[in-house]
Amino acid sequence: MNTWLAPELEHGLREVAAPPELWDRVGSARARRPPKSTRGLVWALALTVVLAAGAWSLVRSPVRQDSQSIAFHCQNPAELRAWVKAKTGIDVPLRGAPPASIQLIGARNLGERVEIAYRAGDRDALLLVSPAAGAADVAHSNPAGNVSSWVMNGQRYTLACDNPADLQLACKLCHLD
Amino acid sequence: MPVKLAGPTPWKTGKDLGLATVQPNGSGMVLDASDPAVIKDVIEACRQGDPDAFRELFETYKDRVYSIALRYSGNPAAAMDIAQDTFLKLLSRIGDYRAEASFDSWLYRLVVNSCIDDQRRGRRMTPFLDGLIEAVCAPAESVLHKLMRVETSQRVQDVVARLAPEHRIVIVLRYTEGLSYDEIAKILGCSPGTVASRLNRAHKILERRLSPWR
Repeated sequence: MNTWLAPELEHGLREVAAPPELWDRVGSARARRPPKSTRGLVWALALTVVLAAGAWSLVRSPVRQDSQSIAFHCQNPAELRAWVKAKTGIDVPLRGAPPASIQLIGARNLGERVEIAYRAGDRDALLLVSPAAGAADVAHSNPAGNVSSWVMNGQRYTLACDNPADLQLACKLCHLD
Repeated sequence: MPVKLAGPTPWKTGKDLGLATVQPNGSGMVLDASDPAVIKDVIEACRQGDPDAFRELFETYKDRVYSIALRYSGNPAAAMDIAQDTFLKLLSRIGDYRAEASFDSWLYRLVVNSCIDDQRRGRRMTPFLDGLIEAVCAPAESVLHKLMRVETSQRVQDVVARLAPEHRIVIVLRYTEGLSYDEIAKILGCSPGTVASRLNRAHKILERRLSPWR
């Protein structure tokens, strides 16, 4: 670098005094500024709503599946039927060869009742079976349409799906097409 | 306007630190920026919303902020916008400043970012004539002598204004603020070697463009 360059740059680019009106400019811009951004608060609220909705749906979901709670993991209908019969005395007329859209997960013994967990399509479904000697053969559904209950041959069946549209498919666990 | 705090070690205002009150015309209160304790106290007061503390910071740093903005943009109107933007950012982001870092470096980063933002907005970077007009109107000094001085400064400013932004900012930080390579590197977030390389390149360009006028 030539010796003349640094002094020339130091002089040509030297610090200068800020105009006095700068303070007024800053002051008026501050006054015009919108209140502190609420974006963070909005995101926090949105996150809270999403989490609350998730928690609520978990609580409300009739087909919560906890693989730890499945006492007997089994994909074979005949074996599962035998296990349920042995544990509870309840005979659940599972189809020997259900369609591919039905995938058994397992069963859980709940004393006098049994829960059979399975997948109908790509969603969870649950069949609860309990003795119902003497009960009338009536069927009813919940208002949401994703739980259906009926009594047949002295046993009460309650079928629950995540989606009401899956109920018909879920019936294929025991019934033909 | 001292603000009362409940804490055991309340921050101090400029008055507590023995500084003069800011006058209505803005003169009078400049902190000793070389004393980290003083700066720390005023920053804490500013965080707590003390308007006097913000005014103290403004008075202390306004010339530096405006000068960088002016030398980078080459335009007084743009420099005012950049300086204004920088002080507004200072006010809104003072809570992000960490005391272990240098406040000067933190503030320089705000100015540099405001300069870059301003340029992204597409502002013209034209040299200014204000100095020239002022020189012609000034009665005290020889008009010819002053014109020559202004012309030289103007020429330097013009040539610097035509540098690429990455070269221009290192030149401004080096010659307007007299910062070291290390300090510039910290502000720009690059290595001192990169700063040296950019300065070297900028010096060569400036030498080539300014030498015909000598």
